[in-house]
Amino acid sequence: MFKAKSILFFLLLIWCSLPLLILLGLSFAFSWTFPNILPRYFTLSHWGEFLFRNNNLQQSFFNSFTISLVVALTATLLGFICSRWVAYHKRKNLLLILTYFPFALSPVIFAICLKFYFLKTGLAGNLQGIILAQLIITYPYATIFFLSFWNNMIKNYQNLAYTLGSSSLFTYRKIIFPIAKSFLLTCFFQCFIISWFEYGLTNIIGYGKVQTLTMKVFQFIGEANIYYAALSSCLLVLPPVILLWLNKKFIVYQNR
Amino acid sequence: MYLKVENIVKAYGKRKVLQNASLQVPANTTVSILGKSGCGKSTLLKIIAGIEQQDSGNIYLNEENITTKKANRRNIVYLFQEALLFPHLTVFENIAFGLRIRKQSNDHIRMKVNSLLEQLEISGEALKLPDQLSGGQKQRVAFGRALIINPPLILLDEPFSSLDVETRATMQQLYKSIANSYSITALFVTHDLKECLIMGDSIAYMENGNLTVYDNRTAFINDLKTGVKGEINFWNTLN
Amino acid sequence: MKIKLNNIFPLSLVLVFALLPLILGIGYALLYSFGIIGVLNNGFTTSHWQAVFGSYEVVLSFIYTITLGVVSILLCVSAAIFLAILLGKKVQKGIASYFIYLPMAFPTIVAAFFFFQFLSNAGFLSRLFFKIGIINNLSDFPNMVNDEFSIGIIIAQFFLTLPIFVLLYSSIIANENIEKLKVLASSLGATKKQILRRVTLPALLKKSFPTIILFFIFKLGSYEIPQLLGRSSPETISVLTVRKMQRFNLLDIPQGYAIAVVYSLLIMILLVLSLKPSKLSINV
Repeated sequence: MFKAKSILFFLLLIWCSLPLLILLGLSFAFSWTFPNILPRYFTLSHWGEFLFRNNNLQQSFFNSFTISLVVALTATLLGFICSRWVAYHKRKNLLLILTYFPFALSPVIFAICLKFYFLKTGLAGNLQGIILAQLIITYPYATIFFLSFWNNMIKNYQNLAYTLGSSSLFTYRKIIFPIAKSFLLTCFFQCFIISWFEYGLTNIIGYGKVQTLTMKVFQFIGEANIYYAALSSCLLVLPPVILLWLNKKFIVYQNR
Repeated sequence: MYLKVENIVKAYGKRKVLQNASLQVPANTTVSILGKSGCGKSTLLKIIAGIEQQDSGNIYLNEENITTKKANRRNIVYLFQEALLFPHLTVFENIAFGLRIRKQSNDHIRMKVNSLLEQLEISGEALKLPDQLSGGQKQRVAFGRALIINPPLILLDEPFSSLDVETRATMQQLYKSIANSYSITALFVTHDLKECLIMGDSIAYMENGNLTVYDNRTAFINDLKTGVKGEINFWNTLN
Repeated sequence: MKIKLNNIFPLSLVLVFALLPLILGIGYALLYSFGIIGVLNNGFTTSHWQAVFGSYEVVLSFIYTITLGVVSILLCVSAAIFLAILLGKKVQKGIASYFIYLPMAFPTIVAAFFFFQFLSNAGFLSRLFFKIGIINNLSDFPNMVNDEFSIGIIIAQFFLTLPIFVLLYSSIIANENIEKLKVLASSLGATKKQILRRVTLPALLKKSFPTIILFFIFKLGSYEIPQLLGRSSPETISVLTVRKMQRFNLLDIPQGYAIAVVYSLLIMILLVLSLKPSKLSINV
């Protein structure tokens, strides 16, 4: 019985880690033809190309990074402020459902319904538009994320600080923010990853004009360029893996 | 009269929490309020502290009408059931908090905090974080944090109810002695009959949002609804 | 009641970011689908809606999407419960636990790409089988990509979502005194099987119900995986809607919007269902 358990556990670990290993392998591979399990040889040239030559992939890496950074920062801050209001509201449940809705909808379908407005306001096909569109799904996420932070305990801390003579600003700076620090950090990284992973919405609102990493993966798959698809996949997966190594909580979010 | 609370009314929706609650507290005395949980005593304290808004009624502190004054301008300190120490600050910084807000010099802060730490018998814990303290120690720090700003009035909302019996007794004595040496004026809320009698210079009883203030201890004991008579009878029948 | 100034700011934020897009988006889709606005439209008509409900393709797409969602979630939940009960705290501690979290570092598009490479006829698994001698020919390998039974889609979804449920159930088991309840039940004379059926399973399922519904909702909306690993018919709702929008036949566009409205309604109902019984837990 004990042995069966260990084997099962071992299999689970392989099942979870195999994809990353194979993708990494593929990104270094050259001439991987059937029926060989290993490619004819491994090469550094794909990675070298990405790192040292000026190319589209680099550009899309920076696009993705910029978008995710701005989206995560904005969503975290806005979410933090609004969730306090939602958390202490009389109609909390109704607000919760309404906030959840944009996040629960399929991003592509939501994007299709909103595309018209982005076109009309000149926000389709550019960086600002994509950031705004991604905020529409990350902001509700952040708001919901912080709901569990604003409990009675925090309310009491705040009241206590007031009665000790502290102003609102001072209370936020010296009490609320320090206590919320780990929450804020976790939310920031989770929003960063949601944005980093986003494909459908970005593609529709961005009209393919702003290339992000996920769009590159799709493009390489379409071109049947599996080595570059694997390379850009690795570029997508490695940052979250690093975050995972820092703190597991950072990457536990709701993947579709 | 030092603190005057007049006809406070408060309702949450249809539920009336306070109905014309009035109370007077002379300077340098502690009035204890006895009441079951949910009777409205916490709400009364919160309104006096300025954390909650009353529907009507007035509050005077030292002849000044503070009814509409903001909580952080009243200087009244509210002590919660839990010690509510700021988890990211050391014991020292928790106590110093009120002085930091008032932008006092570091030397002055150090002097005042250290003397309080000594008085509260927790000098050895100054650099610890709250989660390294016992329940009694936490309450001591909470006291220190309140006392350091010399508040004109302290509101205590069942501060000892989460402590074990022995620590509780020690803390009650500690409070008494500190209240004496600092000439504290306070309202002390509790659901514990014995604690109510120990802590209060005078006593009030609260039930369903109605507050009864007793002229003296005998009047409190003789009123059947306070439960003192029943308690006395119980112990007597044991003999 | 007096509206305070510091309430207006968050209120407007909630409105602008959460409600406004929703109202605008669904409003636009509604108007378009009823022919009130749009390129080819001239006045109110229910013809697009009739076309949608009369279309075998659309009805099939809804049935297919829901079935896929149910199967994916059922598989995930049962495997996760099994693993969580069997492995216990092992999945949450030590270096090994990092491996369990790894799938969460995968965007759906990458997971889709990987399983395409892994499961296709010329893929990794096929080559492995060939080397071992289980198959002798490329075509002997069972179709698991763009296949009739959507096996590829289900496997990819399983990969992405399994860890979340394993972690959820192992934390429920750790935090909800399930062990003590089991001891109690057995002291009352329950057999192992009875304990599982009457104590452990109901407790776990009840606690995780909102999360199950939520992930079911996510699966209904998934796009990249069915787009890459699915067949051209039937399609999932997201894939179908996007395709209708990108077609050159402009008459398909109002139908696409009608589908979007029906889908949104479905999600709304499921959300209310999942949020009503208990507070939703977002952190595993």
